[in-house]
Amino acid sequence: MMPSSSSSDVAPDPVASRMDVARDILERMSDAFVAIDADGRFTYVNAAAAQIMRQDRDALVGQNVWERFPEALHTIAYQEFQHALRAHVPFVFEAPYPPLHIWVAVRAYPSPTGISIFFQDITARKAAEAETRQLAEAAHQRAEQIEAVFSAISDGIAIYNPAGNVIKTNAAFEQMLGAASPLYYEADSLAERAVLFQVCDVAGQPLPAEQTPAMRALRGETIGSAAACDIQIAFPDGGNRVVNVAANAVRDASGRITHAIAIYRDISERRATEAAFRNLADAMPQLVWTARPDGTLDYCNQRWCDYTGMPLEALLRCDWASLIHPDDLAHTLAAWDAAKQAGKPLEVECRYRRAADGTFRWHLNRAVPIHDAHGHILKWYGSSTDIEDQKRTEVALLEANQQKDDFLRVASHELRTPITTLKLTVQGITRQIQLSYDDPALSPPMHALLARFKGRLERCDLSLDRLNMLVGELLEVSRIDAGRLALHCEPCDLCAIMQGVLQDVRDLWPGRELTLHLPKTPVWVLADADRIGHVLLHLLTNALKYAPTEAPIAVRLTRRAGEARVAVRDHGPGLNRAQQAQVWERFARIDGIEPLQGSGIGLGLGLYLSRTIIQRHGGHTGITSAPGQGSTFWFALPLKSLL
Amino acid sequence: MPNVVVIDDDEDIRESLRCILEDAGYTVDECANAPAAGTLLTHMLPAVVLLDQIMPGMTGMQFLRATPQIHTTHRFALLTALHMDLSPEDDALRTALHIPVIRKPFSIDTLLRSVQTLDRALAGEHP
Repeated sequence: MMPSSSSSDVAPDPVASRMDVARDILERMSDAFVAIDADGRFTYVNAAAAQIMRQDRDALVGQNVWERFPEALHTIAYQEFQHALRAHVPFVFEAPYPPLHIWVAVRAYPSPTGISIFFQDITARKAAEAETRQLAEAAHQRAEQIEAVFSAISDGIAIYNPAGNVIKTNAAFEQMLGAASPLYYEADSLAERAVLFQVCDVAGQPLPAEQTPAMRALRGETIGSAAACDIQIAFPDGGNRVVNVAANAVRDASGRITHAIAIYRDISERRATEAAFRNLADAMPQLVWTARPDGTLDYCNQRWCDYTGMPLEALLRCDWASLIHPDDLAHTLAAWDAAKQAGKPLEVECRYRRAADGTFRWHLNRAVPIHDAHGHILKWYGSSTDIEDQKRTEVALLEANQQKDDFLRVASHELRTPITTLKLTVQGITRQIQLSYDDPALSPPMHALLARFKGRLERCDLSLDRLNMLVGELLEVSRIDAGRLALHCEPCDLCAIMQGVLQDVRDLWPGRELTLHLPKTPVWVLADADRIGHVLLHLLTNALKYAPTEAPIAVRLTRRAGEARVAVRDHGPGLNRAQQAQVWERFARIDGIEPLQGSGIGLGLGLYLSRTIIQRHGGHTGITSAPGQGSTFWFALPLKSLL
Repeated sequence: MPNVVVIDDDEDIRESLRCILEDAGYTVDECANAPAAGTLLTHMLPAVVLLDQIMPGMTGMQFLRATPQIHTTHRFALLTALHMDLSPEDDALRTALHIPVIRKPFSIDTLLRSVQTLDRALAGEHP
């Protein structure tokens, strides 16, 4: 450290004394100070300078600046220094000094012997300045972002000062006001603005200025999402927009209202859509309605009003259960409650009272819920279609079918009863004859007479069987035509059915060779056993009638591919392809094919009925045949699953 | 001698059945309609009752419904042409009560077989 004063025992030298004072000042000041001679050597370095330069100042004095700090040769300091020496002018600059990672502010003054330089470490100040600049930049960016959102948002936004004047609006707001927009800013008062357009309520009644949403917000009222209000802006040219407004006051730290912000959403399109929906709904023949999520009606079309004889307001308020027929009330309400609970479409029929004549008419009610993105029901859309005529037709059809059933039942009974009586009588007389026939006291002519009677009665009995079969076929065809062929299906073993039929046929056609091939285990099908028996009986009777008596007939039941197949193989004349297709037709007649046994060729209904019955069972029929090769008639039924 | 009651609205059928059954050794009582049968059957216990399904006023199955306990004391066979004459409900009830059907038209052999089967069943049940 440099001594701050000379020795005290010597008389003070005025020059030395001034030097001491100057030195003392230089040492105490916070600025750094160095003196450099014309050759660039340090002649003086104060304490502050040594500290900034992080050097021992005694070591520095006498040293050349540019040799000691060669890195400074390329800085502004060197150029300024050289210039100041030559031109004898002071210089000032601020610059970073990278070797020490600091910023310095430099002021230099030429002196007779060189240059006096004051400098300060301004690193902290520079950092503060940079930070301020960054903050300002960030603030600017945020403002830009807000401005961009403000401009881009599709809702109109306006900011009002406490007097109610607009101080800022966005593009959407301006677009909403259209031609009136540029003038809007210039209008100083509410009165002036009123010339540009009029703010009305939704019904079109002008709102007093203090009742506009912006003014209400400026009085501290919150016009928020739930309490948002709809207004109409009416322009002098007759145009208008329907706008949904939310508005809020902006307060300063002390709670004083400084601004109001109002957000305007143009819902004119939505209103137009709603109006279009109403027009459409009114044009429909149905009763159309909408309901809130809880099921309370919020709209009914004109037809509803006409039907119930109530104006819309009354209809929406009334208990609509009172419109429903008391007998239909419970199930209708239950269906509606269930639909609301599940959020699922409603479909229920009920009768509504028509005001015009007090009659109840059947309606089919349908309603679908509209959900939001979260699955909550927003609204129900419903329609009620008058199905009274349809219902009447249904009832009439039911009655007509009942009549058909009744007729067929009566016809069946009335036709079979005399056949039964005849059959019993014929068989009874035959038995009586048989008893007398065996009487040894009978004279031979009488015996011969009884034998003749007996033979003719037996033919009568066979004719009655034939008559009964024909009646049966006619009744079955009538049932099919009336759409009343009802099958009585139950699980049954096809083997048992076939054995029963074969037994009957063997009794009726003694002497014919019939073979039956059955699987070893029962073959279960879901079938009307009587009718399947008739089908097999018919196939067998055909084979017996058309095949030579000496030729055997084989009946075979096989299981394959989920089906039970019953085939009747004969050695009759066989059929060509065209004939094969023809035999299944109703009233079929095949030229050149005549029965060899039995009486008559029947009505041509047997195979038609057989095929229809098999098809009704979900099965199918077929023929394998060729002329001269005999025929195999078969039918297949789906096997009943054992599960 | 075992007794058979014939309930049928058709006089010819009743007459035929009487002849056949009497020849086979039964005594026969006749009823032309269900209500008359109701009265008759409260007083007698025949071996077999032949009941026609299709009768004016009351069908055979309606008669059985109207007289709910009668099947426990009397043995019935139902005379009918086809399944068609029975509603699914009637047919289910018939099956539940173990009442056999004799299909019209029937042969004498079929009829006698059915009656004998019922007669034996009754005898077996109430020795």
